[in-house]
Amino acid sequence: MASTDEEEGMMLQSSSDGINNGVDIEDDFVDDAAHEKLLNSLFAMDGKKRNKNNVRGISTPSNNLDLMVHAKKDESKIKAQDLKLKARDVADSLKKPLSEMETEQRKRQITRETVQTEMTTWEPVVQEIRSAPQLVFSNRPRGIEMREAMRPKGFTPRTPLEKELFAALGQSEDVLCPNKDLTKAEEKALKAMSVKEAMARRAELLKHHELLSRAQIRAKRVKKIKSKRYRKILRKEREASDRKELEKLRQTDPEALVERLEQLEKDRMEERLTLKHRGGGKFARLHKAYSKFDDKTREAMQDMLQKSRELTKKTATVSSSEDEDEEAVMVQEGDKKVISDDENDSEDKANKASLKISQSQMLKAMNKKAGGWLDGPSSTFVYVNSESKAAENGPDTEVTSDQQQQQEASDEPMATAAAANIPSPPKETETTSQEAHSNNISTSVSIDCSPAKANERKRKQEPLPPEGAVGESADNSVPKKRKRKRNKKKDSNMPSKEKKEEEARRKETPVVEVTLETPAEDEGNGDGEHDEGSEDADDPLKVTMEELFQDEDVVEEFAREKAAAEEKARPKIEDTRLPGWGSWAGPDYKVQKPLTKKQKRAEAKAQYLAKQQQKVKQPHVWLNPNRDDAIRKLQPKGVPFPYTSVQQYEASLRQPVSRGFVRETAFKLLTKPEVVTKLGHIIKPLDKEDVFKKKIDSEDVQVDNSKPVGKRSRQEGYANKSKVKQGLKQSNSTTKSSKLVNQKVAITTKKRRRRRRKKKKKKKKKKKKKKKKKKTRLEQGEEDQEE
Amino acid sequence: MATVSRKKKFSLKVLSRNPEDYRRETKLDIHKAPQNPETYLHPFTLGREYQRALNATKLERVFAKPFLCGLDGHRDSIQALAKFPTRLAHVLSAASDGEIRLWDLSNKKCVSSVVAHDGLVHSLCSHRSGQFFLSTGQDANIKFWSCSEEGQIGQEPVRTILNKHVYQGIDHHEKEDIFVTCGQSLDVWAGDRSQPFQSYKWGLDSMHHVKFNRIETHLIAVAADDRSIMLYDTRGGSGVQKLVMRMKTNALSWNPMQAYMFTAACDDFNLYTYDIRNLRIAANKYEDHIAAVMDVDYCPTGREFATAGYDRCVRIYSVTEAHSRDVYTGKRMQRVNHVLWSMDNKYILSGSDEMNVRLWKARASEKLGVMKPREKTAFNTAETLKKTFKDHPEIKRIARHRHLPRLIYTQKKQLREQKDAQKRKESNRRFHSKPGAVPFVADRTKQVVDVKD
Repeated sequence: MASTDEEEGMMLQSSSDGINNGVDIEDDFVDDAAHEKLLNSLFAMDGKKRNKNNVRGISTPSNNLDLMVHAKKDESKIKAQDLKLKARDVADSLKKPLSEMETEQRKRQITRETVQTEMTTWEPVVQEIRSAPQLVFSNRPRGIEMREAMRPKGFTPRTPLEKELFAALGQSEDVLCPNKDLTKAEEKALKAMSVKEAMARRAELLKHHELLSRAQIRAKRVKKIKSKRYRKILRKEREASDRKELEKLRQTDPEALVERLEQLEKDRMEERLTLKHRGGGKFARLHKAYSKFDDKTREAMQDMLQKSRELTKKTATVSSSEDEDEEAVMVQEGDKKVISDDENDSEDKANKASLKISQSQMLKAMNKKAGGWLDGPSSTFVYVNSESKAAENGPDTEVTSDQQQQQEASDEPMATAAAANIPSPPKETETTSQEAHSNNISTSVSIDCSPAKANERKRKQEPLPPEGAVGESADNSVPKKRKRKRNKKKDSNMPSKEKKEEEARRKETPVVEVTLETPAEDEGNGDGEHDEGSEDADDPLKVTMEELFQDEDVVEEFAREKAAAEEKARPKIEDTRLPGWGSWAGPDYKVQKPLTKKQKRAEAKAQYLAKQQQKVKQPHVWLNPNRDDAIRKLQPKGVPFPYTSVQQYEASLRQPVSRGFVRETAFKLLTKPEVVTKLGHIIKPLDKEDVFKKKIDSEDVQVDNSKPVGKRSRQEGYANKSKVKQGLKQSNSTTKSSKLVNQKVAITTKKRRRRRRKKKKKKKKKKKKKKKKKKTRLEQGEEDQEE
Repeated sequence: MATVSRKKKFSLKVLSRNPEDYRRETKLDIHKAPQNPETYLHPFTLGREYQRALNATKLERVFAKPFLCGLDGHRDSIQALAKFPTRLAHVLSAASDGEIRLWDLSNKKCVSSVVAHDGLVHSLCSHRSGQFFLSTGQDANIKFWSCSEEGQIGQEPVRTILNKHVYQGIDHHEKEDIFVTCGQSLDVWAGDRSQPFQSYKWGLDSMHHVKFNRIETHLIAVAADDRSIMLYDTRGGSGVQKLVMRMKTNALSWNPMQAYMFTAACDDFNLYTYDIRNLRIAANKYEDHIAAVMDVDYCPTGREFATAGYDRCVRIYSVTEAHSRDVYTGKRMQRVNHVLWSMDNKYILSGSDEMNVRLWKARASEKLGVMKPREKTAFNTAETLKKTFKDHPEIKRIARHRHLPRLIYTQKKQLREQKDAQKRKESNRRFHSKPGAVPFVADRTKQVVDVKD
């Protein structure tokens, strides 16, 4: 467009030149004259006459009428007035201002040029926006605008309650104002505090904080210690300290002591309610299985049971005593008991020995009675049996209570009691296992009530005798001691039982091992078969494939199937056209139809398949040509637009983006949304001032270097671009990048402007050369605009 | 007992994990799923991601419910729509009976209305401050209306400019107190003057649509009845260039992020984006409408634009692609005259012949409202996956699938056939003539008749 305009201008110029040929243009005039002379002389030599009018007569149309008139004159004649140098001024005066249309055109040209150059300054900005991996619009500085009307107005209390509340709270200094960070009271306090004080306080706080954190760290560390031994020691320590404290309390603060005791009583009740330590808990369940093999777990279990016993044990004593004083005494005794454990142990041993003796005697006797079939390690059997006997002896409550009373009264060793009255000591042991019951039923047929019932009864009775005993016996320590003894006995019995069971199991295990090993051996044999072919022949079960498929001809069948499949896979080429449709037909006419597109395609496919099949060397293999059809349907047909090769496209797909397939940071980068906008945020159009602001700031600092303009600026532009891109890579935040965009825009536009200026200078020079005379108003206008 | 000992002999090695490592504290917590991103541990990544992309695409279609509400109340067909540069919730609409209504989008109600002109309202635009708006009507008046923060339109115009001839289009300058009108001539008005300070005419025909450039704020693009688009610069007070096309341009819109790009909605069913530095070839051509395109409006990010079609649908185009991303139709929606894209890039408004203004979501399946970070990441991942696998036929098919009115469906098919026939004919002609006699002409230049300087 610009070029056409210039051409036009040139044309105008040339036409005027043609009109005033050799008249008013200073350089051309001389040259033309000389040239004319030369031509004339040349033609003269030839002897031909030159038709001057042919050259002169042509005149281009012009809007300048005066010139037209002038042009119509016969110019072959040179007049004297034409030769006067003065004529030049005349031509100047003749030159009219351009017509309105032309002026308009010129004006448009100028505006167009300016607009285009201006628009080109936007190029880098636009490119940056187009190629930006992410555009974030919510963070733009002018992106958000709060409307004045939307801001909540000041709160005015209306209802009486509101008013009352406002009166109460509104004046208080501790209420935080909505616009401020601190309350009035806080601000006052801040003002009141001196720097020194504040520093001291801060130091103190810091110290405190430090100590706290240290303690926390230590507690954390200690909490994590897993050593059982450590825990045990810790527990022991705690118990000891508790005990000590109790002692102390007894001496100093009886009331606190009472409270403590009440607490203990509560614990006991709780224990009885929940049966926490009875083996129903999670710990017990988990460890039950292991306790058979692991000594430590067993011990732990024992400990647990012991604890439950301990917790429940105190009851008897406490409940039996009604007065607080008595309680205190009992506690004392309890404490003593713990200390005198060792003494009791020796007694227990003696008891055990005597028990064993009695048991063995009993067993022997019973075995004799039963005819020897009772031989075995089950001690429970004996116990229960004896129990049932006790039931036999006296199903009434009186009897048992009498017996118990007897026992309680007599502090003699159990052995004697057992010898005298057969079942008394075992009767008191509460443990009756289910197995024992089942055994029992067979033996004690004549018993009117089952042993379980008997047990129940016994349990009911149990609480009674101690009460009586309390009343009778002056010394309370006696029953207690015995009870503990009983427990001890049980303890000592239980492991023994378990041990026996274990032994029994151990005896059994080898058998199992044998049975389990046999299949393994079989397997080994099986393996051997594969290796050694010679053994196959010997094996009667082993048959060859031929033998196995004797009646069926497998090979032939496969061949048949293969042929069928191939036939099926082969695309069908059939001609559905009727004779006479679209072609000649007749009795003697030979049909010569060209293949249709569809048929051609089918044929090509058939050939391709045949080729593929030929490639396969094995005769018994058939390639399914439709194998990939299912997946092919899901694959893209060609390489999509921005990619140029399959490899490129596949590479783009191969990079996983989902969380879990790549690291978290990579995931975040890969799944960044292209455009981020926020609901309710007004996005303003790009602001020219914002974008080019920095340019103006930096222009003052920049010093111009003297280098070839075009190349340098372009290179620098690229350099800037790369720099900006690096910057973009380094900075993740988009706000930064937008700043950079601005910067970059600034940089590049600066250069552009400089270049533009230089171009304009050049242009001006050219124009000056061309149209030295034609300095119209227009050009002045242009300059104004540029400046 | 035997079983126990067997266990002892053949100890099974079982993974035993501490429940604390994977159990959630509450059911609202995230499932703890420690993952190892080593590649060799995930051999089926591609397949799994493809499946995820497929699912995401399907879900997108499931949740694609773009229509939000219809704003009804006008008693004649919608003639103009306008948005405020400073408010999101308020939108203006004008009808053929001269009534202007202001709608509050947040509660989907008409806040206030005023009968502004005798006869139809030709054009509307809001003042840059958002306190006023301007209207031109069939009664050859330009009226200024005040508009409060709450959306109450003053019942009497603040100012009225009486003219000799009707102005068909009006637009306000982005920053200064200048507005431009077009009709018999292009007039630029400033301040309180009752006469235009610039008046321009290039050619004999009247102009019907005018738009200020939002970035280079002194540039104006005008669409005239002689099938031309004219560019005008207010600084010099002169035109820049004039592009004459084969068919009339109904509306145009400047890209708010790219200073020298604008898109013209043309009567030949297409839209063209031009770079004003070179008007001889369109930067892009957008097809898919099956009737004249009546209006176009850019989204504020400059990446997409919405168009209103005479074919009773609103279409959304990406600037870089030739075909529409989405199409919105309503069972009762008639010819759509105007379309607007909201300033926060979330909504689209359309005003149609059957007196309704409709509110649409800009992205049909987008979840509006507050999203938790997890939700956001999930959506982002889905978007990325969809983009990665968009060229796979199954995904492409699902993503492009739309239920369209029969008219559009059949017409489109017909147009397709016509185009194919033309192409075929051209190629045949080329084949049967001397090489070079039938040159290849770019599709984007065909609509250009002339560019006048």
